[in-house]
Amino acid sequence: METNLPVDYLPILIQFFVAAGFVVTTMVLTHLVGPKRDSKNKLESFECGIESVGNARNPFSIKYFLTAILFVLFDVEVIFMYPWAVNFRELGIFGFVEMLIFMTFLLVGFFYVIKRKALDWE
Amino acid sequence: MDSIIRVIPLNYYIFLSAAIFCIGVLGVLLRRNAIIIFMSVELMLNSVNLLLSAFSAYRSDPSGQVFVFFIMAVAAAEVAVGLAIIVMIYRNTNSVDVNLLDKLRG
Amino acid sequence: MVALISLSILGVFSMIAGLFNVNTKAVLTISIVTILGVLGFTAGFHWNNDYSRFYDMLNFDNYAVAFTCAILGSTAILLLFSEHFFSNIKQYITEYYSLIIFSVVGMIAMVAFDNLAMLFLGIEIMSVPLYILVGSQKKNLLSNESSLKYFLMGAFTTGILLMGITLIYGETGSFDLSTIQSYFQENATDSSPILLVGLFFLLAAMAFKVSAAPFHFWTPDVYQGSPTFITAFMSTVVKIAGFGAFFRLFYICFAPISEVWTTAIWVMAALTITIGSITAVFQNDIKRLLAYSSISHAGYMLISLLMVKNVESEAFGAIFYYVISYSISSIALFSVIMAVQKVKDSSSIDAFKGLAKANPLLGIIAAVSIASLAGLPPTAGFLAKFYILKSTVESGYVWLALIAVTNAIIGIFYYFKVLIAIYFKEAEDQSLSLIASSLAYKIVAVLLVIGILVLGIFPDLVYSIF
Repeated sequence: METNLPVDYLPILIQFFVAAGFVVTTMVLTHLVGPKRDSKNKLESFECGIESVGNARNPFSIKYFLTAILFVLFDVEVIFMYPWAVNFRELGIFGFVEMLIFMTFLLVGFFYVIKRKALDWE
Repeated sequence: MDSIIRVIPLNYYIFLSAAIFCIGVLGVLLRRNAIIIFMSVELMLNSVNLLLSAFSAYRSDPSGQVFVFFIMAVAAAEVAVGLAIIVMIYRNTNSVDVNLLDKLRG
Repeated sequence: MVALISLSILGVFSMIAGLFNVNTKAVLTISIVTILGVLGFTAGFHWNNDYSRFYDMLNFDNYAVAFTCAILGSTAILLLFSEHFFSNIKQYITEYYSLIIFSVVGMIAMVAFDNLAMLFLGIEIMSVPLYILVGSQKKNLLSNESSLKYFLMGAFTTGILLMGITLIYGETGSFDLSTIQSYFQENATDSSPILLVGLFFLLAAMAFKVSAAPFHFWTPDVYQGSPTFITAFMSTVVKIAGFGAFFRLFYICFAPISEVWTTAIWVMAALTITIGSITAVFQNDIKRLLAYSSISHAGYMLISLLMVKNVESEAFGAIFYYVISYSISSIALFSVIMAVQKVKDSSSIDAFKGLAKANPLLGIIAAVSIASLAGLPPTAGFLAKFYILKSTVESGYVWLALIAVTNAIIGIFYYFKVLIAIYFKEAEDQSLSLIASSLAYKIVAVLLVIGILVLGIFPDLVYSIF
């Protein structure tokens, strides 16, 4: 760990260039070598199967949005459990009770969400 | 952990955070799409998070990192409320362009 | 501490009460009684009894207790007036109460913070419910627009505030107010650029929250677009909390390096007062007019930050007296606006024509509160301005006092535009005589008017409590 010098990052730099070079080379090569047959069917999003209908950018159901937002909220609250878990023994019963209170408040929110039928699909 | 973080001088962290912060500020001031403005705000918050963790590591003081937790949690709450507001406006106007919102003036 | 816990539980309670269709009147009564009880407990138990909790995160000293009581009292009075507002809403009424109460919890943290983390959390807990409340008329485009504007600007300021806190943390190594203060005392002479940038970021963020120029552009739009009850809440209770935090941060924590920021405050105060009162002259919408008037009042309150070199208790007394008098006068005036808006769907000044003839009580309430906001004796607003200006001159800022006095005279002009409409214009139709107010409304409104006059005659009730 003590020998961390900027020079040590050289292999990473080389690898970066190799990776970027590979991508650029293959893309240019396939573009030059490959045959080109442009047609209307070729430019469709889905070449085979059912013909696509309408625009892809239709507003989708608001249900997804609610679920996603609620997920973000309840998901992020978990970060408060990490410090508690790390110091679980030191905090002892005090920390446990605090975490119980915290979870109770979260669950009250969850209860509210369910009762308001925010998670119902129909 | 600390040793790796401290290999990079503190100034570099400050410059990086300042750069990200400025990108966020410029995004808020120049862009006209509400969602992109919102993303720029998140960029500002995250540059602050980065700087806080760097300061905290350099001072061996955990309170800065705890602050980062709070910023993340509050940012999540703001995201929820903000996206709800943006969706509400989209339902009424079919657009998220802030230039269309000029009804209030006097 | 007790205030925070019991109000949080009250907020959760009224949120859950909405699920089970509990009578909204009962929830309102419980909320008001709890808020008043918490007010009584805070004033009785914490006064002269410094009380640090949460590992010195919060400190309920006399300053915090006074501002907490002002916030709780104003909220309780506003909730008493809420009947006009909530009679138009069919669903989710208790959720409004719960959002307001959560917002108040944030404000108490804001005025009692002893740690920059608590300042940030308080501001956020106050603001996030406000974003929702401002946009609570979901189908109304104006409400939507003001909500989005407030939210985007508020989130942007949060970023600025956090950057300021972080830079100060990087330089001083602590979020604790007393540690930062002693750091400044030791290193008062050499202020590094990082520290200065952090200080001015904090200054900008706080100026945004109290809508001081040049960070005031959101205020008129948001005040006009949001529901009137929420406008009243924002221009009184939120303003008290904003100034409580601003004052606590700069007057107490950054006092040792006051010469760095007093010039900035001088310019901001002069700009705020001038922009607020000159722009207000051209307004025809009463909510917009009150928004500009609240900007100019914010300027007067900013002046009190300049008295850093004076006696501490005098400056505390002056700002607290100003906050109280501004708050009760605004609430009284907003109660009239809410009553009128119930029968008329407009908030233009023309809607108030002939109000005094149609409803003499509302006319008197409006007259007294407008006189107090304009700063005429014998109301509380006059003495509030007088105390601020007196100590401005004593601290040597004569030019600033001159600017303030000039703008106070302009202020009388635009406030009287409203008063003339109420008293000397004929009503366009008969709808104003349809206003029916409950007995409770009348009692509280009359008490407010008496309060404005009593405070104006016996200022020591509030001025010398510190």
